[in-house]
Amino acid sequence: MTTGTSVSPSRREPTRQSTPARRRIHVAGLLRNLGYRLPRLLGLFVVVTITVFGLSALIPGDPAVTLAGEGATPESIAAIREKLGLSKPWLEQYLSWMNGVLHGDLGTSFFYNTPVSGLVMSRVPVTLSLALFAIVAAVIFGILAGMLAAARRGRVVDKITTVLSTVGIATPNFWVGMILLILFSLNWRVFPAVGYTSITTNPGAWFMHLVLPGIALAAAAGAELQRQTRSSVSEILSQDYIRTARAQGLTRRKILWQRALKNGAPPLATVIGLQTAVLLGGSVVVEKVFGIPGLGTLAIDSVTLKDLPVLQGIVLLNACFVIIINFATDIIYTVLNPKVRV
Amino acid sequence: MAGLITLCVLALVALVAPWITPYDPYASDLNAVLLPPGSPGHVLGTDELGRDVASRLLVGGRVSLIAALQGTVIALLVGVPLGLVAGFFGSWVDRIIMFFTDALMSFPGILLAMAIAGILGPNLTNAMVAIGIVTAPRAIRLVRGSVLGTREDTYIEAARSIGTPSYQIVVRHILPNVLAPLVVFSAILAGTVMLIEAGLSFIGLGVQPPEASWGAMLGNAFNYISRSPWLAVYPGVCIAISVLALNVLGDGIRDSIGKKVRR
Amino acid sequence: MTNAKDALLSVENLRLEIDVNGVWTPVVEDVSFEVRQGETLGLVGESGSGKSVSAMSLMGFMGRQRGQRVSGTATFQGRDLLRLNDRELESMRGNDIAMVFQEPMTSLDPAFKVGNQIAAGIRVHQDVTASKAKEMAIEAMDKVRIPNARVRADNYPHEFSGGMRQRVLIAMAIANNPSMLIADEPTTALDVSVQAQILTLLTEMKEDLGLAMIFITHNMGVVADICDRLAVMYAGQIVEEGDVFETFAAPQHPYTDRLLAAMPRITGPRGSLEWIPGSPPRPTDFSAGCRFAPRCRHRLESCERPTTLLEISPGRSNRCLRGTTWMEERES
Repeated sequence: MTTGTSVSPSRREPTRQSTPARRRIHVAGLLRNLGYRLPRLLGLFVVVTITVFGLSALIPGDPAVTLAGEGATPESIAAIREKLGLSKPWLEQYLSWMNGVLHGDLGTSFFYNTPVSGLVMSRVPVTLSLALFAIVAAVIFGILAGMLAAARRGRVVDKITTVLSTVGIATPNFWVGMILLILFSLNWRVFPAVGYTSITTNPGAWFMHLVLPGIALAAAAGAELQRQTRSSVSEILSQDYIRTARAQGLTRRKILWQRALKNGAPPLATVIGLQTAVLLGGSVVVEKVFGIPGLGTLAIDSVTLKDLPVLQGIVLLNACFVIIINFATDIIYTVLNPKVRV
Repeated sequence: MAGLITLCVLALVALVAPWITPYDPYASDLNAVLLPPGSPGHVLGTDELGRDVASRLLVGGRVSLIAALQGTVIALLVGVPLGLVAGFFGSWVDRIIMFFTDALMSFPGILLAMAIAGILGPNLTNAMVAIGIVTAPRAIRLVRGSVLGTREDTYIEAARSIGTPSYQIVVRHILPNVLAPLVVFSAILAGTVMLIEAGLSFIGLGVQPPEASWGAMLGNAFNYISRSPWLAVYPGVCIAISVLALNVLGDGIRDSIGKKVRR
Repeated sequence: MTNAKDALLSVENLRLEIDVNGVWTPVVEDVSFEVRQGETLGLVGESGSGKSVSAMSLMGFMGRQRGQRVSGTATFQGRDLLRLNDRELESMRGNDIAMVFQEPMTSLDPAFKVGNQIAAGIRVHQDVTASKAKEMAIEAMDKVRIPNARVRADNYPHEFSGGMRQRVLIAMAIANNPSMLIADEPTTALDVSVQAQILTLLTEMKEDLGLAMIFITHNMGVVADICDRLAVMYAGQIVEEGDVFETFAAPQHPYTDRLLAAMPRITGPRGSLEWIPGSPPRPTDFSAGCRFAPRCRHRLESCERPTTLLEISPGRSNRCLRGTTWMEERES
């Protein structure tokens, strides 16, 4: 009769078994975990809103004067100050702004005189499409290339992809966009140069418009993913349990695509989440290059026009996206990682 | 190694740039507007104001590289002390610093830098401050991570147990271990700063005319992209090479200290 | 003890070379041994003697990558293992010859359930449905005496202790009824009490399944326990081979003698622990003559001549250039 206990354990060895009762406790544990994270999430949100609101404090000089523009009379300046509530204490201003935010009201654009939320929302699907396109492309090529490089480490495939990745990370994405534009739009006329068509209007055109900017954005993200995948999968392939699998007679292909991928998934998920978050904000300049009417171009315009509410709205929205993506990534990681389960 | 050499070459060129330009980079020659590369007298062509592209590249490089340095230094000035404090003191100090660091990291880099630079007023210094602030969180995390990692090492415990005072522990044991990854990180950070600066200058928020950085040159080139596409090529290549050199340098340093650490 | 007198595995002149800075350096050479059906051969030696490396070469884990090359023959069921292509190798592994390694704590995939991993090994070689494979996996876990196998098959590796993990690995190994099992120091990483349990288990497997085994170890005590024959390795060569009882009673090679003397014994007169001064040479420093000579008490000038493994009597070989003349010099 044997048991699993040792006389003097040289390493701490868990001997708890996973029974249905324990699994129920685990689910509760997962929820408790969430319970920790949500307040932090809210806290982050609050700090983010304060920061965004605080941007207006950065305006050099008297904001009312700056906003009134040149040749403004004392009356118009006073009127602006009154209208924007700039004479009230800071906390009051913040709270009234927050109140609006929580109700979906992000203020009114200085330039267009229309609600900011309307402006912003019309642009969101565009930027999201682009980001989605880019991240899908980056994930497919990055992970594939990374796995290939790891499986054939040290050989030609590995060296080529590594060089490509290293270069890919170093090149500015908007420059890649410009070069692609020159080659494929202006020179060879394969893809359209500017603009955007909604997927509901014309899926084909939607795709064509997104290809070049998508590739430009995907290059850097994909390169990063390739490096991570290669590193992580290489590490996995040198592990003892892979040796066991080989001793069982499992084919190299199966080992790579089933075992290595599953083991590599948790850190990869983290990197993908990170890259997505980066991509959402980082598409700004690429959008300008391709004339895509997304949040990026709106942001650029709002800076040029000194349209503060719009800028604040965009920054806030983006930050919220990032927080949500990070949170989702955390949860996915926890779910994917069996070690955290017991 | 190759990175170091490339970098030194670049730094050298940047230093002497103003003296070796074949033409005055700021002088416009409206008779020689938008000449293609290979034109007599202008190896790389001219831009929309007739200025020699090669000369502008040289001076622009100087601006880009110095700007990258500025941004990196600012990020380090903010990030390193905070990271050290967070890592060394731990407990609530650490948690507060990390909380605000995470909050700052929730903002996409370029966007926030744009917002800050835009509001403060578009000029290079403001842009660098903005970029410095935006990238500081990475420095904080790195330094904090290094300190935490070293703190838990057994030899620290050993040092404490024989009564070594705290400041000695910090100076003799923790600092050297933090310095090494910090240097690697700085090289790579400089590359990142350069890329963000290029983006900001491209949209007009960084360097202001008549000064130019490579990013600003790309911005100009964009306006003439259909007429003179070649203008877009060179500044981008220069940026890519510089960032590449910085990354390779960083990797190289990491590899060589890796060998030393593995006693 | 043994049933058929035919060798199941016949290794001749196995030689593995590694490219060290452009020079092909032999790590093991002139390695020849046989394993008969149902027999357990112990491959004994210090770290670096080449015992693991030899086994790895047989399984194709070494000798096939860049910078490594293998020569010699290893005939198993009519085929030369060293000349199999990748597909044949994969079909042989886990099926005809199985291998169990040293570190049970890291040898199981943390991302997959244990039953799943065993079943995967079954499905590679047998055409069965997933549920049937799982049943077979549970059977295998029963055979290795894992209590509550049905439930435990759905557990992850981190829910098992070291000894239990090794049982799982053994279950994996025997799941397809292989003819031979290679066990590379399977108990070295385990606590002594667990060691005994695993050894008992392996002995049972050997008897119930008629498994032939190559048992790699540096522990002579274990050899005495579980092996029928042994081959002692030093610096990449076999220095002595023979039946366990006979060899333990009268070792023919000075190294074997020292190894036996170094075993701590509970019974018998008390004395200080014996040890062998010096350390084994590295492959780059292998000499052409007797490689043990620098550490041997009985060395002579003539020991610098090249050595061969001489068969003294059927099933008994010795590499010592002095034959048995050195025995006269032993104290007591």
